[in-house]
Parts: sequence; structure tokens; C-alpha cells
Amino acid sequence: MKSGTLRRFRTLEDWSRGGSWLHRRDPRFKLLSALVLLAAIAVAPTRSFTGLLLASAVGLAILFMAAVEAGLPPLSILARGWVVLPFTGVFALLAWLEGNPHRAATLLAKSWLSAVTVVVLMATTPLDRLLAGMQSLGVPPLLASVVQFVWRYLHVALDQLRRMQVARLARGGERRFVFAAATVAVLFASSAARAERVHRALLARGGEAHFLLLEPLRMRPADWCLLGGALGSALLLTASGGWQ
Amino acid sequence: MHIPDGFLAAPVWGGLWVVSAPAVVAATRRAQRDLDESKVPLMGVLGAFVFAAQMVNFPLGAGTSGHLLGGTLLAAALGPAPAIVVMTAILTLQALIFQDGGLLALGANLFNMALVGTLAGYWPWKALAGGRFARAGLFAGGFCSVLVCALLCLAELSVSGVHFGAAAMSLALGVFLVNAILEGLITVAVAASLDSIRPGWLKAPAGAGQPVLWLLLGFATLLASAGFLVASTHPDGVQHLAQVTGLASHERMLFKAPLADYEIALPVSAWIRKAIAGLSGLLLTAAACVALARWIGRWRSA
Repeated sequence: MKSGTLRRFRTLEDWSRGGSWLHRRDPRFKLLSALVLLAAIAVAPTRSFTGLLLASAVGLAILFMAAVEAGLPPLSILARGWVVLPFTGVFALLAWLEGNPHRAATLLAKSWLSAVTVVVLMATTPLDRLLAGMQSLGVPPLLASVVQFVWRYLHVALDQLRRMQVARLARGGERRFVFAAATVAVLFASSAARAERVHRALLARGGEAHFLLLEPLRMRPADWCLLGGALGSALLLTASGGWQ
Repeated sequence: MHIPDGFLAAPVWGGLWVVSAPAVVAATRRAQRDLDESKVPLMGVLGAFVFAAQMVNFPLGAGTSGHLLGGTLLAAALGPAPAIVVMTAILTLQALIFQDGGLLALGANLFNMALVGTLAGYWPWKALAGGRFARAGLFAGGFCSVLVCALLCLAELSVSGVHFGAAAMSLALGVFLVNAILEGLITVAVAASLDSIRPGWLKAPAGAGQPVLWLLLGFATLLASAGFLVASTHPDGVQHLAQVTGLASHERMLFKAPLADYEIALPVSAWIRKAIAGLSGLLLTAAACVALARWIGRWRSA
């Protein structure tokens, strides 16, 4: 889980630094387009099985094309959506056992397509640019900088945890409840000390805690094309879901 | 307990966004007002700490293990408003990068875990922090926080039409009860360890003078979320009550919603009407979020 989580995260970040047409779009428009697509997936009426299949195929095609356009490996992108399976699988199984296979299939398809949509968004948008975009859309600056800090120090905290676990293993690796509690407490104390050092470093540079972008956000006509495309896809997806 | 997209009905996730977005903005403003600049890195680094702490396995015997969720620990260390901001940051990152919870469902997840969960964990701690029962306060905080999150999550799923059988429901409640007790125990154990490293990290908040009031708030939250769960699993009960009291006959006059049943009258086929109604509902929700956030922002800074 630990290394897997980190690997997933790092690949996503590598992908997000590409230079394709989709990568170069304004993060605000990419976020809005993703939300429009997510909303379409959520509200698509899938009463009939044909409708469900058609809507899923349309959604799949849109996301597949987006991944190919962005120069991302489409199959890995689609596979990554299956991280929702542990949660969705349980409820799909419950619905199946209740004798409602249609509902089970709908849950699986909708939650998977939604997850893949977010993966495509994050694989084409670096987090710092997305956060800057969210800030200009009204997310409070303090919240945006806390997200940045969490993202920045996540690896530091996880690396420290790994070192502590290796050290524990090297000394016999006894597993006890109180040892785990002590690990968390030490992690807390050193995180607090780290925060103090970070603050002093900020003071030494004479600045407040804010993050800069290498390239400012700029809105271009192509961004409107992206949003228009997303709206069109959303209508197509909802429409195909209503097929009787 | 992170709800992915595709589970909640549009009115549920939309409505919870309308509640959560302004509440998070208000908490952020409050945190900004109460804390000095040095606390911004602290909030971020402690957020990273919670991420890492969730990876530590606590052995429970018989090969099983559990882990900390950390909302109560954060609230006890930072206070409620900064803890809400940090939990919001964590949940946002989980939704964006780890696909742990959906983006549309983020409003619901924020409501359950960042807002109500954090407050339900904070109030019992605030009530008991000053006296001899500080540890009991932490335990009750961890317990309430996890149980309230779980009950709200189950209620939202039930309202959205995800059916549980009676067996599955009682199994889920049992698992969540064990998790809630575990969160309480882990929080207390970590606090005890912290005290031996450096006492005073989790100090009693100033003005913790009304233990009864705060305890009542904590348990009222617990009861209310249990009530939501019961009401959502027996919607027929409410309808029955309405019929008995004769409310049902007035229903149409009383509640004539503009997008009733998600359909609007246009001379096109049914699915286009449904699609347009769904999308315009989304737009209305977004507009309501923005307007409410703006209004609260102005009111708080005034």
C-alpha cells in the first residue's frame, strides 16, 4: 500500500508535466470541463441496459481520446480508475444479491468513469496550476496554500515513516499497540518541529507563505473550445443514456 | 468512508455542496483571523503528518490491524477551524490524486468528515480537556467523530437509493462501532505518548468553561446523525406520518419546486428534458454555492 500509493502519485505527477494541447489548456477550463463531464455521468438516465451500455461507451470513447491526445498511455489511465473498486464492488455485490444486476452495473460504470475523468484531469494538469486556477475561481488562498503544503511535505513525512519502520525492523521489529502509538507521536512531534523550521526559513526570505507559478494562467480561445467540447460530450453522453 | 462519484443522487451531493462550501470558507476565514502567519506551515505539515499517520498499522491481535483517522487529534492540537481547513485539504488531495472519494461527492465527504466529524471530535474534548477526565474527552471525541461520519455516510447513501439489506446494515454498523472505539483508543494512546515526549501539545483550549454544554453538543450531533440514518432507511415512515396528519393532501401546494422531479416542460422528448433539468439543477447549485460563500465572506469580514 505504502510504496504503491507513492508510485501512483509520482506517475501522475510525471504525466501532468507534458506539453500536449490538453496539457497547455487553462487549468480553470480543464476543471470546469471535468466537472461538466462528471455531472453528465452522474445525471445520465440509464433506465435501460442499452442506454447504460451506450452511455458507458460514449464516456469511455471521450476519455480514451483525451488520453491519446495528451500522449498518455490510455490503458493505464483507464486501469487507474479501478481504485474505486473496493468501495463500489461491495455495493454492486449487494445490489446483485438483491436481484438488481442493472443497478450493480450502473454503480460500477458510473463510479469507474467518474474516477477516470478525474485521473485524466490530474494527468494533464500539475497540481500547483490547478490550485492557482481554483484560487482564481474563489477557493480561499489559505486553503490553497495548506493543500500545497500538505502536498509538498507528504513525501517528507512518508519517507520519515519508512525510515522509522526500517529502524524498528532492524531492531527486531516487534509489533505492539503502544509502539505504533509512539511512532505516531514521534512523527507528530517532528512534524511540528519541521513546521517551525519551515516558518523560520520563510521569515529568512522575508516573505509570506505563498506559491508562485512558473508561467501565469492565461485564457485563450482554445480553452473555450475545450469547454464547448466538454459540454457537447456531456449532452451526447446524457442523450445516449436515455436510449430506450 | 470516502464516497466515490456515481453513488449519491444529484440533490444529495448538490445540497451538501451548498452546505459545505460556505462552511469551509467560513472556517478558513476564522482560522485566518485567529492564527498568526507562523501557523500556516504548521497546518500544512500536520496535514502531511495525518496522511503518514494513517499508514501506521496498529496491531489488534489475531493478525488484524487498524489505523488512525486523525480528525480528533488535529482538532485537539490546532483548534476546530484550522482542523477543518486541514481536513478539507487532505480530502481534496485524496479526491484529486488518489481517487479516494469523488469530486462531485467531495461536498458530501467534506460535510461528513471535515465539518461534522471534526466538530463531533472536538466538542467532547473541549468539554473535558480542563479537568481530570481529559483522556476520556479524547476517547469520546475519537469515538463520536468516527461514528458520526459513518452514520452520515450510510444515511446519504440510503437517501440516494442505495439499498442495504437488514443484515448488511447491521454488519456495517458493527464494523463502524468497532472502528469508532479503535479511533478513540488510538487517539488516547498517541496523546499519552506525546505527553511523554513533550507535555503541552494537546493543551486545553482557552474558555473551556461549560463542559455540560459542549458534551451535550457532541452527543446531540451523534443523536442527530443517528436520526438521519433512521429517517433515511424508513422514508415510508415519514410519508405515513404525513398521510395520517393530512399533510400529504396539501403537499402539492406547499412544495411546488421549480425543478420538481427533475423535469421541465418543453416540447421535446423525455430524456432531453431530464438532461437539461439535471444540468440546470447543477448550475443553480453552483450559483447558490458562490452566492452563499460571497455573502458569508462579506458578513464575516464586516
